Amino acid sequence: MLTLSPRLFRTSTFRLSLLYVLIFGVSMIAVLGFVYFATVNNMIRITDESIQREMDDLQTEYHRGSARRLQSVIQARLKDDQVGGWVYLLVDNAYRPILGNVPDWPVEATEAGHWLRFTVPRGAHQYTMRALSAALPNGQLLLVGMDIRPAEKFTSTMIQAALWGAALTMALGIFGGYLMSRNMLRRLDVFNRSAERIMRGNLAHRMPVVGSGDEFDRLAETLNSMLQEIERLVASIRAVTTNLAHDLRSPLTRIKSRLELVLTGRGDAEQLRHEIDYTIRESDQLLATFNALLSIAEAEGGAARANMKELDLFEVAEDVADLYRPMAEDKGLDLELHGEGGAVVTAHRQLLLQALLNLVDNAVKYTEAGRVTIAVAHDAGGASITVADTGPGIAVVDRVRVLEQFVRLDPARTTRGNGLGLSLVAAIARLHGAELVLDGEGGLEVKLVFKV
Amino acid sequence: MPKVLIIEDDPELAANLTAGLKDAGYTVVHAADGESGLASAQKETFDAMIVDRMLPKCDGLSVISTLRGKGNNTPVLILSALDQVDDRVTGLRAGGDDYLPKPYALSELLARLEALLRRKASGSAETKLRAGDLEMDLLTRTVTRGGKEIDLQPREFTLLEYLIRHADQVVTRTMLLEGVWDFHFDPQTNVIDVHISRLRQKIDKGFPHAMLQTVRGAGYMIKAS
Repeated sequence: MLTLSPRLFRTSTFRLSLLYVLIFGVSMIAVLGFVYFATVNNMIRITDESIQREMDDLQTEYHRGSARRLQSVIQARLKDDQVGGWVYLLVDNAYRPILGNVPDWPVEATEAGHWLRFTVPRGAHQYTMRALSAALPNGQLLLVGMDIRPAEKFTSTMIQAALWGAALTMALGIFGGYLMSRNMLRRLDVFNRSAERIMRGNLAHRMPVVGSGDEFDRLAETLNSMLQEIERLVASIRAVTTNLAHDLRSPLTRIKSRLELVLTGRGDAEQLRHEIDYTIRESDQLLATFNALLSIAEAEGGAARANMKELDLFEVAEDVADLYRPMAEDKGLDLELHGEGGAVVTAHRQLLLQALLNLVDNAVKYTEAGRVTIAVAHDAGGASITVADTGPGIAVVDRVRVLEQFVRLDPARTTRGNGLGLSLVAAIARLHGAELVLDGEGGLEVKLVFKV
Repeated sequence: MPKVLIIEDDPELAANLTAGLKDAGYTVVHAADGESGLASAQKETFDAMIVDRMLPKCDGLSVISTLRGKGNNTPVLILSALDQVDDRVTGLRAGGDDYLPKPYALSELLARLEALLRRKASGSAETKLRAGDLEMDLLTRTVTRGGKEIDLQPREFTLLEYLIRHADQVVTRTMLLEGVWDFHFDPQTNVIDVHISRLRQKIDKGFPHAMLQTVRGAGYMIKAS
């Protein structure tokens, strides 16, 4: 269906095709013009040469014999019906016709030896002639000419053809542009409608991929992967918010009920003290959750980059190992530190300490028997620090998810902790441009790789 | 009675803080903005100041650097809602002596304030520390209690030194992490408790009086007597 909406003519495709039609039309006219002039010139030249040759022939006849011989030759040519488009006229010095197939000496032939153009009425038509005149030694004048109507007809046909061609090109171009624009608009409209649906909140909606593999398909695919990432981020923000609300509601409820209990004044001083003490510890936990979130935000914000210095990973590892060794020993675990100094990286000391402390704390907390190993290694390509344990480990399928905020692998959320530890480590790793690798079989191995 | 200047614009926080400090035996002067705080600090002599970072009229760090520029060396504890490692650094660089992020526990604030006042009092380089019958020789790095030598690991030695320097005052876990391990963040772990109990094993075992005591909800304390 052809609908002419003004929107269509505003499309860039339509404007472009219009421009192309214009450029194409102009260049076509230029080419045809050139062909026209070249052809016409050539035809005139050929005609002129024929006329000149005929004139030369006749004059030769004259010189070879006499005026009489010339007349008989002309007579013979006139009698010959294959004269075709030729005209001959021989006049005396008073311009009175002696012989020829033109009634009168044309007024245009004023001077002998010149080219001229004149028209002769023949039947109902006017014939256009090109001719050459010459003065003979006996005072007579000779005119030899040729009908150039076919040539003129040819040129006018050509001009017509050129104009029609140009008109058709324009029409087709505009029509083609219209069709292309309509097609383009249709596909863009699909995109616009999809985008509107997404904006209305349907984040799962995707741009249609036709399967033609053209630029629209590629655009759709790019947009779709962007949408997927956005959907993932929104989902993770939503999950964080939900988890935060969930994690805060229970302790806040407990705090409230305990305080209400205290307000009633029942129980002895020691009991009240205990309740209040418990409440304080619970609010400390809440604050700790917020502090952890703030730390993650700080690491993600990147402002800490200004305070990075060169430091030795091994010294950081020593500090953390030193802090945790007694705790590990109390649990019957070996805390081993492998490596040597010289693993120099540019890092924020406190944040890096915090990341490593989180890893070692987790390792010691979740490992019941065996050992926790901190290993520092470095080579020309960079440095790394690895914390490995002989605990339960993390299933391969959970290894990405566990880096997200508030993810605890214990669905009942009964174990201590706020599920932010590894997300903080991940954020700190990102801040340092370090790679965080979760690995290990029959235990967990977390590796922070700093590349030079 | 030590005299403390509080510069804090939040009226409720200031009231709580004033009450808490008065209970702990301090004389308190309160200023609600930077300008009046600066004026009070220059008019009177205080043993310590507690300054909020974000204040109307003149912010906390400017107050501190102005005072320091005029040769006023009163110990300053900075309070701030900007709980980030790098803000601590800027705060200390401006001339603050300690930094406490909001929200804080009153016990933590009292412990740190007392530590600040002590630091001002001692300051000289000692080679021997003493608390009750516990003695530390910082040169030979030996520890004795009641004449009996106690063998300590290097880190245990530093820990004990910190505790004795703050004898008879509460030392919080974060203070220990900062002062002994140089960890300037709250790691949310009870890892310090293990170090304390090991140290307690070594210095208190076999003695009738337990010196290293746990202060519930706050931290630890070496009791000299």
